[in-house]
Amino acid sequence: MLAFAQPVVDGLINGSIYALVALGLTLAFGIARFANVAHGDFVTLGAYAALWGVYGAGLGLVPAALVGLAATVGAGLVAVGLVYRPLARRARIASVIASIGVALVLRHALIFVAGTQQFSFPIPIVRASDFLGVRITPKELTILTVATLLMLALSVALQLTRVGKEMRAVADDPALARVAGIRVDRVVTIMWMWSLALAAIAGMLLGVKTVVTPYMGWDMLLSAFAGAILGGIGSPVGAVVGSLVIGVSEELTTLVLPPAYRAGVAFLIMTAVLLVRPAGIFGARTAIR
Amino acid sequence: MTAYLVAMAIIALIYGLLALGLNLHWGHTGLINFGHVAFFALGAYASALLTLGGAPIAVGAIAATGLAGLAALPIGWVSVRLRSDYLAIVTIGFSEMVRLVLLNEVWLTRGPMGLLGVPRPFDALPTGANELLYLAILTGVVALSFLLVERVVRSPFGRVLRAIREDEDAASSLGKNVVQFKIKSLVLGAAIAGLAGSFYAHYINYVVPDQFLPLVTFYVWIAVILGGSGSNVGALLGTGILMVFLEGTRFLKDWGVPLDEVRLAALRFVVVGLALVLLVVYRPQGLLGQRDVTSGR
Repeated sequence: MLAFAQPVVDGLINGSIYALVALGLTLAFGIARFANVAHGDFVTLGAYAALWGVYGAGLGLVPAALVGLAATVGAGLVAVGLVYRPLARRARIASVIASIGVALVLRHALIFVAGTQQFSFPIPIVRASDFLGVRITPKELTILTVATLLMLALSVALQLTRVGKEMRAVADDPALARVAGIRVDRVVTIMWMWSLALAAIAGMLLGVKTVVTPYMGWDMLLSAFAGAILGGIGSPVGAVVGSLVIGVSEELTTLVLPPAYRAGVAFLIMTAVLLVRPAGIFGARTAIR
Repeated sequence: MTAYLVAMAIIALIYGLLALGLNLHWGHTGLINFGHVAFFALGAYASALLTLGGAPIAVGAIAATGLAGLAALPIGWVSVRLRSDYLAIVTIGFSEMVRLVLLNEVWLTRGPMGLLGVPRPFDALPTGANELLYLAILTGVVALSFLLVERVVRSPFGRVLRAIREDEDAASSLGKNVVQFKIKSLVLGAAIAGLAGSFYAHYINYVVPDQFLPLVTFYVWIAVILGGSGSNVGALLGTGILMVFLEGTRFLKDWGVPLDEVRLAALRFVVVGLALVLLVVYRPQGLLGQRDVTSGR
């Protein structure tokens, strides 16, 4: 039993970061209606911008996080305005292909500025505490707390605020939402801001947990997509549950497979879900073809 | 200088083969294959392993073509059940899985060390002459592949592929077995990519997993879209332009541009990414494409 406890806890920590990324993906998928392949690179941007806040501007961690947020949302809105919005009326494939271009530009602009070496946030190393044989560091507890609070905040925003309700209406039926007097363009812009903000924070948490590299966001994208698809694309609750399952599954497989194959687990689960139950756990619509 | 141009032409032609294969998938059939590099990698490793084991290079090339074609079968089965952007994610994942296996099955592939000393044909000939001969054979193979895909897409079979690209449901309701057609298109395009892998392995003389990053797929995509999705001449033209750009910018440093290697490479990718975005937004039909493949739903 206890042999499983440690990987489950580790998996939940990873999964909570995946969940923030998957939430952004699933929001974009549900409302802008395409798979944003550049999302992972916005995760990376969030980490780098916060890093610049710390080392470049000499800020504390919290103000630096605000810099990371502002930079990511700002850059993302530029991409939305110049690329995604003009493509919104075309086939979704156009947006998917263009998002590859956005990803390439973003990732290599970061490499141009910061190089390919890895960085880390100035966080003191604290020994892990022991809970019934499960080791967890204060850093990891902070990550779990921040991620959980964000998920709750998003859920409140979607369920209770006016714009959240409008967002769900647009996701259900954009034409109907428009007729009902909802300013769809405004709702889509706010959705992108939420999606990008979640990506930025996920990047910072991941950077705090491990290190910051130009590939960190791209490397986790497949796991986050798998989480969103397993949960049911377009479903925020699904994205969270799916991501946690992916995170835990990845850690559990390291008990039986070489750790290098960790990255394969998400792909296998994702493909299996798409073939067997494409709507995922919580997805309402089955029309995914 | 001649040696350099020959080397560049060989690499460009290898990418040209990849582009012809992808153009069949995407340009003619509308399949969004973001994992093309997987077929390239499988071809390269199959050919390298067989020839290192003593098989003649021709056998390696045939096996590379066959294995890559076979590997497209599961993608074909999956593709008919998934909407375009899901297929995009699954194929990226597929190519990453292939790379993961190449990286970790050390007993077979020697992992990150890669396979060294992959035999090169015509080694008995003097240097220069052997490369020219290689270039000549590769040019012949590209020409034959070009004629093959041209013939395929102009046949009734090719018309069905385009019908599927335009409206899968309509093609299906006219009694066309969409699954079969998609799978055949995928297998043929992947087989050509596998052959490209074989030529690559025997030219570079070693294979390592790092040669087969998703970036290769995206290069080929850019070449196909630049040339014009659905045009085979465009696929080759796009590859040519991309290669001249990638190689040409290497000389920027000699002209006094004060950038180190990493920055220069990064800048190159930024330009390539921007080009892809601008093409999709402003000229989705590329240089020679007859129509905008991304206009439908």
